[in-house]
Amino acid sequence: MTKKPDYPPLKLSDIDKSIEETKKALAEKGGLLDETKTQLEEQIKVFESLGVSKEKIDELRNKMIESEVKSTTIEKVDTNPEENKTSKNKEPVKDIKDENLRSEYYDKALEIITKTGDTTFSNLQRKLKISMGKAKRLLEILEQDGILGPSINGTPREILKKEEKKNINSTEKPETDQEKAAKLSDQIKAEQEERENATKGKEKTKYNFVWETKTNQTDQAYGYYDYQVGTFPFEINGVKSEVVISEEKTEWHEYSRLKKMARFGMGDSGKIIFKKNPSWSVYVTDGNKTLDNKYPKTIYFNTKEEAIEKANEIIEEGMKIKFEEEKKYMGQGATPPPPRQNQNNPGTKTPEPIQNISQEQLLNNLNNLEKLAQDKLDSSKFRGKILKGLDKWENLGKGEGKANFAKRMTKIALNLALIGLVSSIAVDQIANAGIEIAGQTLSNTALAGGTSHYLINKMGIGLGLSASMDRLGNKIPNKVKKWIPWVMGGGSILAAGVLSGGTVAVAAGVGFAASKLLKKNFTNEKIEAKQENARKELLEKIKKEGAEINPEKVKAFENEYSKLLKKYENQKIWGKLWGTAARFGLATIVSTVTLEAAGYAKDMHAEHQANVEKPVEEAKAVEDQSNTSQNDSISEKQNEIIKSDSTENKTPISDTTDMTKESDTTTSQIENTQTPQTAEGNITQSGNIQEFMKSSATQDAIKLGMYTPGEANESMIVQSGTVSFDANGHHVEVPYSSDGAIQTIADLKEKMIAEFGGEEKIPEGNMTTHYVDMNGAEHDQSLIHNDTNGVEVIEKYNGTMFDSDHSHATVEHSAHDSLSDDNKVPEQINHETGEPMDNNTGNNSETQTNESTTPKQVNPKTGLPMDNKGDNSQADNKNNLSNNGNENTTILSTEKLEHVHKVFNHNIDHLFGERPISAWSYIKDHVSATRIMEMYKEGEIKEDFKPLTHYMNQLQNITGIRPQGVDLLHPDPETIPHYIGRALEEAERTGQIGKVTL
Amino acid sequence: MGKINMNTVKKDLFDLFQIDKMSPEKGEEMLGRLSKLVFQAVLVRVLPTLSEEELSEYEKIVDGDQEADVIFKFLSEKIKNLDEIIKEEAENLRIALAEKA
Repeated sequence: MTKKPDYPPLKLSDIDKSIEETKKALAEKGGLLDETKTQLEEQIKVFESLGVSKEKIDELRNKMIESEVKSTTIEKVDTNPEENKTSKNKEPVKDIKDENLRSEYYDKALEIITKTGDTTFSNLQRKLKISMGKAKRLLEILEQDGILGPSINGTPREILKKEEKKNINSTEKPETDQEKAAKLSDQIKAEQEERENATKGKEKTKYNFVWETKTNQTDQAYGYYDYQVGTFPFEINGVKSEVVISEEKTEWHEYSRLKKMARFGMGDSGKIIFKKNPSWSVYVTDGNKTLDNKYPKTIYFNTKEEAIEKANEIIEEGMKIKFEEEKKYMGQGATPPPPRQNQNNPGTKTPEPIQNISQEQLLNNLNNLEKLAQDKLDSSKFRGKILKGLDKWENLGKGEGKANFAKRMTKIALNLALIGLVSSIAVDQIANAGIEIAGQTLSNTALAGGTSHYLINKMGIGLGLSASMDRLGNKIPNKVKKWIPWVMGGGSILAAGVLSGGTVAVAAGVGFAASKLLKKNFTNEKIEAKQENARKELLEKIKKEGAEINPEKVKAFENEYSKLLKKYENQKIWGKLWGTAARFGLATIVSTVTLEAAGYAKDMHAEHQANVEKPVEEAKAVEDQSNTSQNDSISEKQNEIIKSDSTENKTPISDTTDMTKESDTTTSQIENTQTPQTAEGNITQSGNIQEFMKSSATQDAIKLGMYTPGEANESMIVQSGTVSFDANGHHVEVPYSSDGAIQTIADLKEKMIAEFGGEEKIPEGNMTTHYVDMNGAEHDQSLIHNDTNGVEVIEKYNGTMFDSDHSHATVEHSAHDSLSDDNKVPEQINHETGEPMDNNTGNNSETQTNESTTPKQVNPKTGLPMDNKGDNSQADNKNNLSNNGNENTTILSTEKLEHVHKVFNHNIDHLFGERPISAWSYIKDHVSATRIMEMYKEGEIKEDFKPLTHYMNQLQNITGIRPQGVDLLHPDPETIPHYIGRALEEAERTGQIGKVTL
Repeated sequence: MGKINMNTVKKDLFDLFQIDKMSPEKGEEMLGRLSKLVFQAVLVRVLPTLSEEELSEYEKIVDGDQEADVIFKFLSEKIKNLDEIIKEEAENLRIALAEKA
């Protein structure tokens, strides 16, 4: 029981005295320790250097003194003032108090210090929620016990040893190895039993998961407002490892809250990902290599129960490893060599050099260095200025939005340079160009593209990163290149949020396209050979026509020639693109592709234009040539007349009509924007990238069968698994790379080349994948194989492998945005004005290829062709544009989007407020927008949904936006929330949001 | 002075801390901690070499609305061998971290 003090504690009114008087008073009572005085004075200096007002400093100083007074008073509570005057009598009283401290806090304090490496009293005070006096006394006790070193002049104490309390004052003999092993075995058994009991239907596990809620900046940067973390720590041979189970969720209605938090400096909300359902992740932190190798990636679950089950499984595994390794350790009497992860094959382990410094020691060293750096800083007369600089640096990139994300990426680039990873690039060079370029890139992207905000946001982030990373040039180490997309993707499930579903799908599609090209050897030489064959076949065809050839047939040949020329030139372009793409990670693919597309396609276009201008002459020349000499060598550029490839049907890429259309798209698109490049591929015009990403590449991903719009989101971050290739008795296999399908395919390609002795020697074969899906289930799936007729078949992923977001919420927009019919011909940018040019003409391949009969308008300033404007009705056009997310008008700002979200939530609440909540929950996922409108018109709608359908009808009437039906490019019908959201955005855009707010 | 582990010294800080194997959050945080130490060491070293006018200019940057990267631009203008200093400090950090207690 606490004894009342025999003398009155210091009155709080003393706080009002001046600092000197108060300190003096406290000093007289033996109150403030020298250490505290120093700290107090230093703290005040910090406040002053930070420009804190005098009033505020006084207030803070008083609070600190008050705190000290209180703790001093507590220190004194058991002390007889008379006795206290002599130090002799002080010890016994202190001993009693020390015993209380030992019994209550000693173990916890030891654990905190061991875990954090922080020996300051404030750390203990904060973590243990005890007074400053108690915290300081605990440190003194730990010093007495030889665990901590002394504090000299207020410097942090050194951790001398991390032995447990049991070793202190222990008179017992040290345990033998056998005793330790037996004890450990018992302990493990007890822990296992405990876990087994916990899984038997009990609501709360006994695993001592420490639940806490945190809102750290990184989490928020990816849109998590609530990040609950449960941790199960291990310590195996002194190396710490943790199984972490997390809940990750973001509700739409939380958007405002996130923004507010960011605004008040509580974090960086950055990119907001709206997920319909929370997901649960389980991962193992770095520590024990065996465990880490076995569970190298984060595993996601839909339910907490599933996540806990997996966590338990990992814990079981961890305990087994703990037992085995510690048994081995004790048996050998020496530190066992920790297994090292083999980069090429995570499943194999090779011994690591024993003398390598452990991660734990490194972290301790880092903690100590940070403290030393703090000391050095404190002793610097430039302390205030340095602190301000550091503070500014710390805050760079904090805040929401893609611009801040870009800044954050620039910061990463600079940080990498600071630690010497990109030593060949001067730090100031990065600083000079990084943010500026990133910002410019983002701005260009947003303004030039005229595409939907979804794509802009997602692409913007990627481009911001890309621009920043471009500053690092080619000197950036591969390991960093691999790491950056991972950071950009926020770990795993967020990759799909950072990059649009379509883009990610393209990444996967491009990767597999590369594999496809690899197999088919779509090199320029191969294409040219095919081109030559086709040309000869067409020559034969023309010859058969003989004297019957007439102007109409010439025109037909001309058209065929034009289409096929484009087809093969396009194949060359894509072959080059994919070949390049497969060699790089996602972070560089954007700029690389731009370089290739802009440079190569420009040349192709010039050549193509030259050819198209003289089609009749060419046809005649062909006729003449064929009549004179069948075997004469014909000038390729003037006389390439190609017949459709007979193998066309086997190869999705060879669809003549589409490719023609696409080729035109690609070349004219790039022509109409500025030619960007430097030799290193730095981005100078981002419009190209965006156009590229939203149009042709996505379509090719679809054509290749790799991606279906509207299906499950394909994230490039996969769980775990392998991709293998089998041919002629050879088997080549690679594990999924942490940075995605492209790298996986690149790795596979390398292995295949090595296995078969060269790219050209790789035979036809089967490509398969074995993977673990989001639920931990294992699958085998064929990717490329020959069917019974010998026709090569490319299988489409079923989605679950890459599906990191089962809600589909984040990709519906982008998938539809990118992939509608009208969007096949991407919006073109007037080179001079920077304005988007209307190209929603419903152009088909015929109108495009009949260029000689229906010439395109030519931009008088640039001399480049412009597409003719179509005559669609305004309503249809609007609907199509909006369906595509390809609005030519204003792009909604974040604030407006936020407003739209608010209206959405408000309206849904209004419509379903008094109805069963399950009604909305059910219908939003199970009935398409089109279907419910049909039911409404047919009078089949139930009472519960009538208000909703009335409202949707009203939305349609006001905004002109209709639900998107199913078509070739929209195989999944539009959901009701998607439709309402889309229509509300249009209303916001056109200033009619008030009319559609309930 | 503890014993320096040469195997560790050979590794760069990225490898040393196995940043690429950390979760994205942890990796970025670790990168931030390491670079902050270097940046701080650089500031401790270079600020005393600036003139009064240059220091005022520096203060305007850190107190103003400009982005933090401007600090690097400014320092690189004023300190000719800034890159060398950064490299030295990064190297010092690496060696200090590799020290065995």
